[in-house]
Amino acid sequence: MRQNSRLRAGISLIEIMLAFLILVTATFSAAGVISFGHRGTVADFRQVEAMQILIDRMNKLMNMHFASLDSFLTSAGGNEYTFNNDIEGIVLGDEVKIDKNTYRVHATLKRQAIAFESLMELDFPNPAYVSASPSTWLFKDRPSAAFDGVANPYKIIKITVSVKPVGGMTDEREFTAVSYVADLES
Amino acid sequence: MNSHDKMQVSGNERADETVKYGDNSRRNGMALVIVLAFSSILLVLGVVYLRTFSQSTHISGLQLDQIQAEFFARGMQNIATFKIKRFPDFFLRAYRYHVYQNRVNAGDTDVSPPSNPFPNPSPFQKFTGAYPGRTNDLLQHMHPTEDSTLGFSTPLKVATWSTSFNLRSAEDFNRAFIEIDVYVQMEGRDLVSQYRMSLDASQTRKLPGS
Repeated sequence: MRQNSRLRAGISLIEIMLAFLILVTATFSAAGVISFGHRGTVADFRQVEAMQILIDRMNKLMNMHFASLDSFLTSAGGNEYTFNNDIEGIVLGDEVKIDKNTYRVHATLKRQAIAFESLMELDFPNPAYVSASPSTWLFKDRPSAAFDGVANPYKIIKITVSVKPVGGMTDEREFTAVSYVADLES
Repeated sequence: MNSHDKMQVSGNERADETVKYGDNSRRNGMALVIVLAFSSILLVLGVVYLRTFSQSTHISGLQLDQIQAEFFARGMQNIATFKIKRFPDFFLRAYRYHVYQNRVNAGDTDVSPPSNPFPNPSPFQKFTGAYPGRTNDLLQHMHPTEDSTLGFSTPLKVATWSTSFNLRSAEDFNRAFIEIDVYVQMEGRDLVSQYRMSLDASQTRKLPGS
């Protein structure tokens, strides 16, 4: 009878130790998952904020006239330049603070070479030509037009804005958007 | 005491213990079962949490694609507008000729036949840059080699883009609404997004000497 009681007590101890081991392992794993998720949630929040900064900076730069953007490049002294300091009240920099978070916000302006090919024009002389009647019109090819700073001045500026959350617990991705502003004034 | 008697005695002792301590054999392993059940619940919760988290990361990737596509499309609309402003006569005549050609091809008897055969590709196709055999046009997706040479769309990952023009006329084409549609498909996505811009345009004739 005493032997049986001892045996039962031994089994209970091993069982409790094993159960405790499993419980500790599961608890630590759960803590790890929660910690990973928390870091992910914080990173997600920063990413959403980074996208909002990206939209804001792109909209501000795209609302500027071609001449203003071009003058920034003239001041910088090149056809392409990455700005990491404020321009015209648009906040840029390596450490732009929004509340508790920090972002690297850069804007690259580039005089973009483009070419329009396959251009046409009305062919003259055309004795049958009547301005209001397309049936009388004759078309002919005309030379392509390049706006590359050589044949013609640049007329397009490419805007690239990149935003990257910095100083976080994880290395987060960079967000980039590209757009173009044309010279519609001249 | 023979062996049968010993077994009888042993059986009686167990029955006495059961009465005294209860049926402990049924409790053996209960702690393990409870802990395993608890661990399983934790595991399920952890998997659900991670899945939710990974889905939200995927959504932010889609949002970024949409933002990139929209800004790119707005830029292409600016370039298309620049082309119209730079070559207004070509655009307007090519569009009117395109409408006229469509009416003739549809058998409209109200319009007179062309004095010369219709050119192929048509002037309007040449304006838009979208016609068979042309694989490299600024407004209709550039060839990757030229794109990388000019650094036009980099660092964006745009799979393809195209531009279409429409002219809604009023006052016999003296006043019009120009619609520029840009279609953008980002790399790795099936969705083709359409972005429309409308311009209210009027035509004025420049008199000689003015």
